Amino acid sequence: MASGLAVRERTRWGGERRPIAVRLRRARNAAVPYLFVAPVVLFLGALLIYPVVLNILMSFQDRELGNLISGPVKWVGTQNYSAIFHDPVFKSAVIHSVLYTAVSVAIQLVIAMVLALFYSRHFRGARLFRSLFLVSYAIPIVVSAQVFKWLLDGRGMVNSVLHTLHLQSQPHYWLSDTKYALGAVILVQLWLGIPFTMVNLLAGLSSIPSELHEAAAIDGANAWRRFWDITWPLLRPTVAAATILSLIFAFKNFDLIWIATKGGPANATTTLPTLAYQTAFEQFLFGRGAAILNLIFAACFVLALGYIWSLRREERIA
Amino acid sequence: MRARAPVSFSTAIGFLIVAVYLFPIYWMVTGSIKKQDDLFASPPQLAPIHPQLHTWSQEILHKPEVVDYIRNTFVVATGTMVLALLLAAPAAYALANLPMRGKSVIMLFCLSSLMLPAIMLATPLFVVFTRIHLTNSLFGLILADTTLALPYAIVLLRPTFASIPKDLADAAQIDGSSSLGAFVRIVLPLARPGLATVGVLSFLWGWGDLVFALTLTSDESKRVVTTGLANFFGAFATDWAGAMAFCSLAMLPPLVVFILAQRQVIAGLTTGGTKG
Repeated sequence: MASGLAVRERTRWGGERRPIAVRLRRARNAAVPYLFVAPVVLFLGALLIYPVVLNILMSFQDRELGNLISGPVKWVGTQNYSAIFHDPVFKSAVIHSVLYTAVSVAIQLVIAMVLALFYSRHFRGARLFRSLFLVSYAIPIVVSAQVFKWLLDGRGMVNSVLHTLHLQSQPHYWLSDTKYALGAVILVQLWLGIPFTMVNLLAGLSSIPSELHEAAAIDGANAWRRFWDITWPLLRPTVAAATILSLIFAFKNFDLIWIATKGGPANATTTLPTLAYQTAFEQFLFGRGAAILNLIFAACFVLALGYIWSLRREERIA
Repeated sequence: MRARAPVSFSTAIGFLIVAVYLFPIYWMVTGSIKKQDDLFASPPQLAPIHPQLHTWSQEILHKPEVVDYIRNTFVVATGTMVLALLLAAPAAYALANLPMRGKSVIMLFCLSSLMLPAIMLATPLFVVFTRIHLTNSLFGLILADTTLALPYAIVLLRPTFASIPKDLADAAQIDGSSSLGAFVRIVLPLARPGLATVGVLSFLWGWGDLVFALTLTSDESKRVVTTGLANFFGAFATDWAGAMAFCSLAMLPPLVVFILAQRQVIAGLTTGGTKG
């Protein structure tokens, strides 16, 4: 754009002599893109980058309720981090976070893949059913968590079905029993995550040319072979991206656990996000909470790099 | 055009799976119109035998604070949607179509911000907002929610703008419009599908946020539905009918938005839109 204008001006004014008015207009045109981006850069600089930096600084300080906003701040080196690493609750939070994320995403991928293969076929209602799954994505996680809290309650639906089928004589308090609570929240996370993974896999499946399958079918390949020889290799970049996004989604999910169990009973479902919240906003140990948040940040950052890498790879292949 | 598929065995199975999957939502809505005794019937009462609206009138309609929660949440969700669109649209356009330095840095930054958990920003934002008196303010919540909606909006809008022919805006400018004029009158209307996707997802995100509402507001008058639910029924609620009525109400606006804009939601989901 700018160059097109310049050519016109140059011919009008002749030669290389450019008067100030033209030079000003060219400078203004060159500045336009930066003006369009500036509000976002300022906004994210103030409310995203600065807070992240502040968090890193706070994790090396002795910040509690008294000196949180103002007042003298003591630098304590890596004391917050060593306090965390010696805390048995932190260790169990790490284990819970890893289990919660890995188990829910692994099962979610298998179920979503089966569902995507099923719903990608051509039958009446397939499109409608596919989008109905997404209802669970549209409603707040808080609402879903509250509903499952009732389903899994001692007097809830799950217990009365199991009782009616004579599968158990005593009701289980699924979310308030240390034996079952983590498994129960993993189940709900699974429910929350399936539509996202399924829709992404469906999008990937729809980009695979159906001629490939038809040709292979004519050559006598059965459905199992067609999946592993055609679908899977072409779908792998989609699966990689969906897996990483699902891992991040599960890893950082605070809402579900907070509403369903608050990390209880007896820390049985405490994960890193709920521990960070409790440390900062219930124990008012803001420095230590910031240290936990930075570790969450580091984990998310590694996953984000994985995601960007998988996008790049997908672009290269495409 | 493909031929209309026949109703088949697959349709029946497909319906059954969706029905099982969505059962919790059905159970919530029917729970809100069941009598207290029927809620705990064993074997469970699949359809409400004695439907009544007692819970709705007692727990929802006669509690003025519920109306406040809904109104506050509307303000926050709509504000997040508007602010995210206002900031993201020109930026994404410049990143897609205009010559400038540092594009790849900004895009990489936005892509990696998609992964930031809200809880990560909650503590530092609490400190910053307390200093500038933005805690206990719906505007503060809008700012906080926009922080995480914005990178996503840019990632999603950039390809939309890139697909709009550059000549259109150039032609408008040669005809005498300013850059901003050409952008507003020529480019924006063509980008409507992408803008709708960003708008819908920002609204849903603003509506469902718990973390910022929990950490940045504490006044009863500034409560939103997510914090209201936790507060209304307490941590160990036993009034399940009331809780289910409240949940049904909190679900209604996002559900309506979803039904009206399914295609946009799906487009957003396949571009990396996780929640939280």
